Amino acid sequence: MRSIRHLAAVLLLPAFLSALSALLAQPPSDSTTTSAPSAVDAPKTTTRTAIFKSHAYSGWQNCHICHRLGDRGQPDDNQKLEILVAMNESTIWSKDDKHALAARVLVPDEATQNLAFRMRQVYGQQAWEQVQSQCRACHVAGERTNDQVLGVTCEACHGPAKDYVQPHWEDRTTWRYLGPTEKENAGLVNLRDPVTKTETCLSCHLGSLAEGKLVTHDMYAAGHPPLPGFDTATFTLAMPVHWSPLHEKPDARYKQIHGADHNFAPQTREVLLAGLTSLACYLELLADYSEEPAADSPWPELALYDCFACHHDLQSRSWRQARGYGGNKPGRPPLRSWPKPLALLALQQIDAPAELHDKLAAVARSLDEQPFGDRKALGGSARAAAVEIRTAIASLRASLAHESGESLDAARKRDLALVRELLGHICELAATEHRDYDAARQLVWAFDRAYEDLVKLNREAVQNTTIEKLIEQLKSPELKFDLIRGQHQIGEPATLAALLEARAKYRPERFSTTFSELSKLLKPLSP
Amino acid sequence: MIRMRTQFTSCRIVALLVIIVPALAVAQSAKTKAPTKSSASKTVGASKTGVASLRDLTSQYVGAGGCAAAACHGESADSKSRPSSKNAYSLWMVLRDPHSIAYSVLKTDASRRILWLLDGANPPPTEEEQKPWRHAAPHRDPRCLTCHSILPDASATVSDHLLADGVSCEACHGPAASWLKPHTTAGWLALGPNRYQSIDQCAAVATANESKSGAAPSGRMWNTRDIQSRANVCVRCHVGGPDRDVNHDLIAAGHPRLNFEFAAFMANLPKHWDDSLAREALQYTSAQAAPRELWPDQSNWPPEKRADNEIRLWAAGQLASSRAAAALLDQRAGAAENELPTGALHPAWPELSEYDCFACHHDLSAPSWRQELSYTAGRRKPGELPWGTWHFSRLQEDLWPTVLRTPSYPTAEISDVRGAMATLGAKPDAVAPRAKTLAEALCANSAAVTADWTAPKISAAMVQIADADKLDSWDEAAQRYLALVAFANAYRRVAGNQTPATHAEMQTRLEAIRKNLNFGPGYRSPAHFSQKTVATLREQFSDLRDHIQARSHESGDR
Repeated sequence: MRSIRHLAAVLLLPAFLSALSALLAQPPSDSTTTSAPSAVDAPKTTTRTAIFKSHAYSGWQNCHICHRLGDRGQPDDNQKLEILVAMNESTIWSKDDKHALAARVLVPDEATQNLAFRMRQVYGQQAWEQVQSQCRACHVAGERTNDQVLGVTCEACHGPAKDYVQPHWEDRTTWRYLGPTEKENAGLVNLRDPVTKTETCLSCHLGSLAEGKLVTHDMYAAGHPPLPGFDTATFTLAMPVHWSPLHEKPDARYKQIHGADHNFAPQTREVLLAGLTSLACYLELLADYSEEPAADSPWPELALYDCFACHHDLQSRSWRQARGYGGNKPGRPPLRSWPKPLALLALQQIDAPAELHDKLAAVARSLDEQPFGDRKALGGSARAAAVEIRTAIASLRASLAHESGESLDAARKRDLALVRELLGHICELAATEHRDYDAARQLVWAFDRAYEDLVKLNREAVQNTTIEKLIEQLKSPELKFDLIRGQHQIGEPATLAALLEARAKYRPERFSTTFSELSKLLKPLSP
Repeated sequence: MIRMRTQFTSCRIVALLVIIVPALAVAQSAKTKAPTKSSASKTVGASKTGVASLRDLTSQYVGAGGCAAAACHGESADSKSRPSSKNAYSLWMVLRDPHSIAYSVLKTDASRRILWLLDGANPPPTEEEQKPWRHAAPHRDPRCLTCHSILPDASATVSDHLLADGVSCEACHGPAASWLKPHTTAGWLALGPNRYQSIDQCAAVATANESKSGAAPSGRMWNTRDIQSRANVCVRCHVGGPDRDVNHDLIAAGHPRLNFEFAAFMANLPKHWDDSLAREALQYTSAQAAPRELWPDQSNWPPEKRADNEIRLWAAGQLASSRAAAALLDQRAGAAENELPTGALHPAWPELSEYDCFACHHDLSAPSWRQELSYTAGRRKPGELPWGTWHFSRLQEDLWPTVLRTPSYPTAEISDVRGAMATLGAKPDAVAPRAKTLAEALCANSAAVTADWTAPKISAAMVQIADADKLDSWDEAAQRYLALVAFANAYRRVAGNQTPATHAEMQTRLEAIRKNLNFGPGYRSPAHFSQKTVATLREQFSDLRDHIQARSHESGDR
């Protein structure tokens, strides 16, 4: 039994490794082709989607049977060397991870008057039953049988396991040294890649029509909590960790194949790549939706737009009116505000072509011409912009990659410059315009992540209590920017009430000011 | 607002707060002094399209100056002067009728910024130019002037000096050039009702909104004595119509929402005419309530003299508003149907101002009373949009058969429109014909109000109004509150035997409701609305209903 566990562990390990430290010093074997992208005809589906389409699920039990070591079952060092993972992944997931409860929250409970109970009341029994398949698309991802309430299981993120569950333990030595692409061919999603990871998370946390996932406005109106803006690095940090970073793996060859070294700014890299990927996913969602048959997908679908452009109390001294509408027509709901700021920061890294900005402007313009945009015009412009962004992601990947043969010292210096540059850009972007809650939160998250990299890279140079004080201000607890950790649910009434209240009380002026102060303090740190 | 709050202490005050007259909203910052124009020859018109095509209608107007001569309507007056035809103009100025500053308000920063935002915020603010909107010129823009001055429509132009007095005499009494002279002669009064031209938006409905006012001077004054005709004049701006559209773009740019309720507006308007009879009517007993009649149609006018005046105002306002709102929807949908040249800016469709503002405009909260109230009752599906909550309230449907002599409330037509408008995907070509049908159905209704408003009948109506179960939105609650005020005032006049104490009991209850409907400082939406507020409002309505029933019982109404 134990040897089976070991076998399985060895074989499944790449699946549980974090992307945190893993931005590739040496990108996956096909990276040379992705850095010289072909601009046209970006695929409608991502690699992730293709994997899910072409492989079958194996079932959570098949993972759990091995990856369920409890606290007392920690493998010793020798075993670790053999298996590379702790084998307690499933235990951590079921004990501490919200994803494990995702299906259970769908069950109405009169005693606790949980969210599902209240949503069922609002919907009425019949409509509630009808909407269940939509709910399950995200909440029961990975397990499609009706008698299971397992939530978002291993396979929902790591890929349907039917074709790799066997080889990853039966022939573990061969499997271990396969590159990410080969593993993807077997169905294992490369979560170490920030782009793929972001696509994976966003398939639910934003929506993905290719996977049949979308929280519609009807569902929100019935009580589904608003999906928050997403920053992959920040959300990853908030998870109970069931992986160990790649650079801690005790297998040099494995590390070399998966590109473990040279990354001194893992969070900064993730923020940039995930930022751009998020915008691509959002634009693709808009485009995909607009291309759906009209009968199944009413237009406009309000859930695709900025919730809080409409959902706010009207103030006589409105900061929205004071801020203006960026030259757009007032009264015509805009796109969600959260994906843009981090994408803009990423685009600054690669000197994105004017063409790309034109395409983005065209999306905004189509929303200007008619409230919510003409279905075809908006979808078309979103598709065109998404194609450009996908190209930009490849360029960004290339620009962030380490040159082969680069010395550790050179890589370190380069990363330090990268982090400082990003911090500067964040301050500039935040200081120039009043941002709404979602956009401000993205910037604060990004700043926080990059600043952590900076501190790790150069602790002495940045020791500055004023900076830290300002950062604390930006993250003031009353703003509720921190994610809810563990298995606490944002759907829990008191939690949701507090989150929504914090958003309602938010005023943007303070942010711009704090960021411009930060900018001044950071300047001397720049090379 | 604050100034107005101290000025009017009656519970009607909410009307001021909720029913936002464009001019009122900025009244404080505006100067009441009419600006003087140096060059009277300049004219205003659609600046971007061919000026040559504009019809110059200057000659149809005499301007407020033409009415304001000391020997005519400009006899000197102060705020305590008794209104008469002699001092009507002076009082209109002295009492700061909001209409008198409708034009000058366009020159304020607030108005300039609205237009600047509406037109794409160009040029953007810079370090040097903090107020880039100061070059915007709403006071020269027909989109604003059609309601903020006497400019009759966007394809017309009038000389600048006619604009400066805002919504001046001729905006409501009609272009005066054709009747100025006759109306000073002895024969004028002898014409009786024939000296007036009734204003009727149904004619416009019949001709598919083609009618442009001011096209044909009639030689008669517009009828503002007949309350229906008067309401029809008001709704031209206060609800909207051809060339007068406060749509969601404009509201988002900063223009207040239009919430018109005629009885409340009339109560709050500073009177530049003699309404002493209305005040005297408060002393009438029900036996004395039937006043001496001047005109053949006794049921309809003159309104000030009738004890049930407020009920008539309420009904006339509901009818005029809903007709205008239906016609406006037809107009909006019709405009959206048209094919536009590529690149042209589409008219706003879906038109968001057709819906309950606060259905969307509220901070999200948990738990949400909206989810529990609006959706669980099964009236709407989650996410479905509530159309026409102000102009087609459930109250209107409840009360229509009681109040109007032809009690055919167009329930089917309204639910047809409501169905077609329930999602933002509403197709303009589906909406336009339905809206037209609705407007026609409303026009087929007689404007005449049922007679015999005895105390028991008013009480019964008030019981219907104070239906706590129907409070599912701020709009509905506010409409019901305003109706309660109107009916309570009518009751006071009709039931002359009411003691001051009984009246005060009613006032206290209405005042408590008003406080819960008030937006609160700093807000233009019921930001404080919560589960608790709604529950309190329901209790207050139930309590009011019980009170009315007890009162009826005591006074032997039954």
